[in-house]
Amino acid sequence: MAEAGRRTDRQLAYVSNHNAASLSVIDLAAQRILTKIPVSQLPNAIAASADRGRLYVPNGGDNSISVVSTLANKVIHTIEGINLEPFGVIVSPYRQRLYALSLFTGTVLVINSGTNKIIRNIPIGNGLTGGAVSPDGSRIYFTSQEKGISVVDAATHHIVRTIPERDCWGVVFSPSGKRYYIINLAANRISVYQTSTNRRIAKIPVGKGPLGLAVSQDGSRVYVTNSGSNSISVISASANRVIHTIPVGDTPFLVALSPDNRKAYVTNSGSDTVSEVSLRINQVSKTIPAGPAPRGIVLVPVK
Amino acid sequence: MSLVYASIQNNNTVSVIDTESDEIAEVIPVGNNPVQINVSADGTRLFAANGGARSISVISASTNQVIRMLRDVGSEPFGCVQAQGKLFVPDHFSGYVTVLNARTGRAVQKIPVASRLLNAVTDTAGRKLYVTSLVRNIWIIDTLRSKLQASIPAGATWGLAFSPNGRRLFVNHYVSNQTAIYNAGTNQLLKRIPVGLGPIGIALSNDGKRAYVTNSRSGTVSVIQLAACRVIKTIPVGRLPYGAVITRDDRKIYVTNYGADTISVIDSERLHVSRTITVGPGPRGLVII
Repeated sequence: MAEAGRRTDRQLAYVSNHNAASLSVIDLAAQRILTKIPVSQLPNAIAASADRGRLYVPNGGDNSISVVSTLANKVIHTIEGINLEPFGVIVSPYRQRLYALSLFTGTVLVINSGTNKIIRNIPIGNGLTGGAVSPDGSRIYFTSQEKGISVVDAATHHIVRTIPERDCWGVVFSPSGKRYYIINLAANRISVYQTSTNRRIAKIPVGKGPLGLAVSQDGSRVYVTNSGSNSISVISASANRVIHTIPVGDTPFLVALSPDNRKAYVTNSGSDTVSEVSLRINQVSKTIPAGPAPRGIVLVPVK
Repeated sequence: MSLVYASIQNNNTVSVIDTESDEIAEVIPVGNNPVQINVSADGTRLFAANGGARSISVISASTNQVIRMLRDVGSEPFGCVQAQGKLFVPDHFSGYVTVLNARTGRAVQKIPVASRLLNAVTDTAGRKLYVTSLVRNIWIIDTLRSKLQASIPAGATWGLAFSPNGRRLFVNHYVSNQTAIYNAGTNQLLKRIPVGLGPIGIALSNDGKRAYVTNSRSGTVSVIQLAACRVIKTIPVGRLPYGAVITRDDRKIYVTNYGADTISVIDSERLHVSRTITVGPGPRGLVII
């Protein structure tokens, strides 16, 4: 009997193991590792294509990006010649573009994701650590300690605006694109900006060392990992304040949300686990072995 | 005879260079992804911080062998500095400096400091440990009590070094592209010298006259004449210069080019690169003994 069209909520977590040059593919319901995919040294945060068919893994110790097929569960291509120590890749759902961030060179490499070729270089500034594509695809926002927020036109790749803010470490848009959230690592805080005016509208204190941030699909909740407090903060986007602080494992790094927004998954880079957090009762419901040194995490539906 | 020990991050080794011949005398296998090398106060031990293995490889300076592996040192150890019978290990992401008993090698304490910790050095007496951070400030730890004592306000800070007489502290301000000089007794900022882009490493000549700063984004080394507090020359080196050390006679400076596979040797008289030594992928931290 055909099962076409039947939906599944089951998710696989693809987790990068910083200390093992690999990705673990974890069946979250069964709490077990299905397979490990070798990548290259020091893999960091993982980015996914919109359909989750492709994952892009920056390898900090290899100056490369591993392109992984989630259908075949293997590396299908390695993009070489990436600037020093890539630790982040941003996928644009439009125009077949990837943006690789290099902390050491302070530049963004623009890659054509169809050909996997580097087509361009955008110099940003010292301490380049974050980026996000606006939901309408027109702009890419990059955060650096030197410049603050650099706004790049996605068609021309020219910097069209610089908003000189301090302590900018990462940026994520709300799904509507009307707001964006910036991580202020020194201040242990999230700043909320209104996209139309690029004005900050709120400052939300969180735990120590905020590293990862994710926004729920309906935009109502923002989740932040507090690496120095071993917790995650749950923010109400309408109230612009923290409504729950949930203890997780050691040195939480990044967070991914299930599509139904019932669960959050946090990589605990210090304790070699992934915490599954139930967002209904706001506490950890499962602790799944991972690593060594799990960092990046992307959820992919089981096919 | 003087030896330079350089951590080669991406092939998990330490290259040992004889400064008379400028050739690789030995290659020592260590743990995964060594990011930094430090030497004990008595010069008998070297510590390689293995950033991809959560461990420290302890090397005997007399045999150049790894004699011990220390574990439970933090989730991404970035260095290992010995003082007061303890080892202080800054952890890059967790926000802590892990304190180990130097004799037993066991972790005894974690001091909460700040996120993205980078380099650490002690003052000449070994009483205070100064730690830099990519986020902000220079953090000062009382090594006897293993407690955070003070912090000097700053933006992102990276390489640092004390003047030979111990009275001045030099710190590279990574985002503002300056080398800053502080009064080591009072922590007062005395001077800020503009250098190249993204300054990381710093080596001070033993005669107190010069500082050599690696400008990671510019691919150059700034030579600072300290009497005038100004850059007298900018020397092109390899891609992404990271660490720098100087020989005891001040004649040669060794610079790791993290973005190439090489170490540049600078002649301090001519102020140019006299030799480029091919090592392995990702040469990063280095020391000279």
